[in-house]
Amino acid sequence: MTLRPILIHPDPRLKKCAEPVTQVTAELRAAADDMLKTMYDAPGIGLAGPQIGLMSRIIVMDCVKDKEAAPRPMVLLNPEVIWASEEQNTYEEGCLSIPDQYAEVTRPAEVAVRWMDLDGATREEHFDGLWATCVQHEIDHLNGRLFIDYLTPLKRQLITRKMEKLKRERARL
Amino acid sequence: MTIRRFVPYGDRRLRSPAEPVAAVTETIRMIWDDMVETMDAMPGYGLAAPQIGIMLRLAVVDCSDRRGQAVRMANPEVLHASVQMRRHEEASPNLPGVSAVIERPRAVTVRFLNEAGMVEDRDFVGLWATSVQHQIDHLDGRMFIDRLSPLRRKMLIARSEKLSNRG
Repeated sequence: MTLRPILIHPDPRLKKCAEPVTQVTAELRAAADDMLKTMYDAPGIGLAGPQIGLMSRIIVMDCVKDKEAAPRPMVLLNPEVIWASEEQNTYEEGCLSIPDQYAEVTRPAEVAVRWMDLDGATREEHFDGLWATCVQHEIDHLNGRLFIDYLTPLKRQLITRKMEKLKRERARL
Repeated sequence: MTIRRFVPYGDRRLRSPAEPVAAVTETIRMIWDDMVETMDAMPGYGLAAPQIGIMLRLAVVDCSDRRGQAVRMANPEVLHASVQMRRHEEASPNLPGVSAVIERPRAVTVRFLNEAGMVEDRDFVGLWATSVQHQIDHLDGRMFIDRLSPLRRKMLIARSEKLSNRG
């Protein structure tokens, strides 16, 4: 397993729609392992393929925050929201591709998601709380959408400028 | 050279004093190089070895505008500190997303073993002085939040914990 570099916004790959997974290849399994490792290392609770430049519909997540509790690494292929609650939830979101920037985003409080697991089986699960926010945030990535796209253009521009500056600073080294 | 990972807050190593360095060897130089690369990648103004899990009294600082001016230090100690204070909003990659204004002496004279392995006394002023003192705190197992009230410290830790919920 290796750590993959995480793309920083703005990057054209973070704006693109990812391609559906048709077959679970050894390469994809390796990518899933790498993505989980990269996510835990960051540290973060979710990561989507496009964030490491992999334009496939794959996300990984683990929203278990209790250090005593067992971790729950999940790999979701072709995930889709099949039901969303009317009740909304506001959470201060952050993104590994937009370091150190956080903003409140309102989304459905609960969602049912269908996906394919690494064995090729179809799975469904009902998510709430942090899990619901996270899975929606990650599925957005697969559609080229970032949490800052929910903000006002002014706020989005402000954050984008900060990220451009960060990238310039990193590139200069 | 490699970019090292930061030990997460809560790790004992951030709370333990680091061991003095006996001599500047090739190994020490390699650690310094990694520390500089890791600091530049943040980018940050300084880094102490315990932050990447190495329990040696090693620190690097670079507060220059254009970077590439890193000072490598082993066993740094403050010989003299100015009476005049300076405030700076400090932060740490070990506690992502939070910061606090800390007041420290504006200028310090620091004795350390330099890259050549020689004892050097050097004056640091302004941001350089702030960063050096911040790094020396790390070598003593202290962090900037230890200079805040217990309540404020607790709030910052809780906030940082929450901010690591990112995807």
